[in-house]
Amino acid sequence: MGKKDVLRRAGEKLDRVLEWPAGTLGGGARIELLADREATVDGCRGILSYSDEAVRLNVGNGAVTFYGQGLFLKALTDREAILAGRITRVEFGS
Amino acid sequence: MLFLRLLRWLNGWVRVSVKGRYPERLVNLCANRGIPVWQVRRRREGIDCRLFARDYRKLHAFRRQGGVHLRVTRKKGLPFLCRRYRRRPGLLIGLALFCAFLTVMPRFVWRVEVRSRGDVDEATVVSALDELGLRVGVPLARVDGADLRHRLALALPEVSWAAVNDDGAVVTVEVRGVEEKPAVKEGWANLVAAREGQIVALYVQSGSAAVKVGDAVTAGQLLVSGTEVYADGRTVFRRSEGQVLAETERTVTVRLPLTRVESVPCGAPLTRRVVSAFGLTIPLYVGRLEGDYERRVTRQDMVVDGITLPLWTAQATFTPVHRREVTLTPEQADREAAALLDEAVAAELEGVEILSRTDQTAVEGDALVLTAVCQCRENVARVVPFSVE
Repeated sequence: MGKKDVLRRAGEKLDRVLEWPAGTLGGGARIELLADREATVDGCRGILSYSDEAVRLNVGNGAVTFYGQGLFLKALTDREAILAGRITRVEFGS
Repeated sequence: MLFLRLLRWLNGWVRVSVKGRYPERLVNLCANRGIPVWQVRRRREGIDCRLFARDYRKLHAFRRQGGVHLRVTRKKGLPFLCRRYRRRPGLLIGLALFCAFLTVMPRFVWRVEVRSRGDVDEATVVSALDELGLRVGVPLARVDGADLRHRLALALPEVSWAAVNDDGAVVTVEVRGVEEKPAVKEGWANLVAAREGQIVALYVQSGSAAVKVGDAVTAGQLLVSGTEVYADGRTVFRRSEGQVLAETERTVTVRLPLTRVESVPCGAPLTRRVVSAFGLTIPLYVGRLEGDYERRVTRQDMVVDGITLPLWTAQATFTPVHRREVTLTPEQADREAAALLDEAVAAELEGVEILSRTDQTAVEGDALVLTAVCQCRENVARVVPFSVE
């Protein structure tokens, strides 16, 4: 187990004990959905795959895939991605 | 969002078509290197994305890493606009001057508006304001409203109240005139004769008459007394009121010089023009005029939609004249003197009933002297307050 993993697990445990929102200390991405039109992914580390119907983003400790129609990235920086289009499904995976 | 679009336009952005096996890799490299991209869309043969124009050069370094082919499909923004017009500097200079004009001009006074309530003449107020330093072209920062209104009230005694407000480049000055209060009828007073005459009627409302109809009175003589002594020794003081009509003799004299200097035109008139903008007057002529001349000036203000702009032109017509001394003929002198005398009598004897008038003419030195002796009927009573210690 790497040092980063140790720190991440410690952070997650502390979040649970202190009853803070998940990810406050434990890290991880924060996803904000505006209906089915826009999704803001804070903590995005890059694009894994990209198409009109499926966009897969690296969120650090895993990946999140957005399915839908007419999907496109409204903005992308080193920490954040804003996805727009018609989102029908969101899937979390590694 | 609008601000973001404006920011991107000001910096200039390009739309790039990324083609290759893994175009997403290039987008990831941009994001990791701090190059913001937006509007990333999948196309049939790759990805389209937008980024700042200054960041496009950095993409070439990533191109090899990403194994992709890049092509700019659209350019937009201020830098491209400036580049397009770089051979037409006049446009940019004009735009810069216009922006400077909009920034600088509102810091000056464009117009001074005077609103007067009462009997205060607006032209007098404008002239006083000009002397106090408020005129078109003065910097607004130098206009101190509170100080100006005090100085204006001191400079013009007929102004009882003033307010100075600035609304952008227009300074509005409101003034109110002094209201004449009605004479306060308080205190004890006698009525005395304002001038000598013979009393023809006596109307006493208060006080006791000291004279009767037919009496000849001199100036300052007591007509109606405010002191009354009763038979039981009581003394009562009151304020005498009433009218005392008397026949008086009034003299009005005018003096008319028999020689005068006349200006006779002796040449073709010359025209000179000036133009003024924001307080700066620019003459549209060169040279100066010599000799005597009569000047007539007409000014035209520029008015747009009822608003007078701080732009005006003026045209002065100079007529060369030759000055000569002219002696009036007896007929001319009599005519002018008579008119002058009539004016003087009307002014001096306003409100007085003139029963008869005799005019006398005399020559004194180089002037004609006309005298009107008028028999008048008027109220000679004058209120003179008194107090008792």
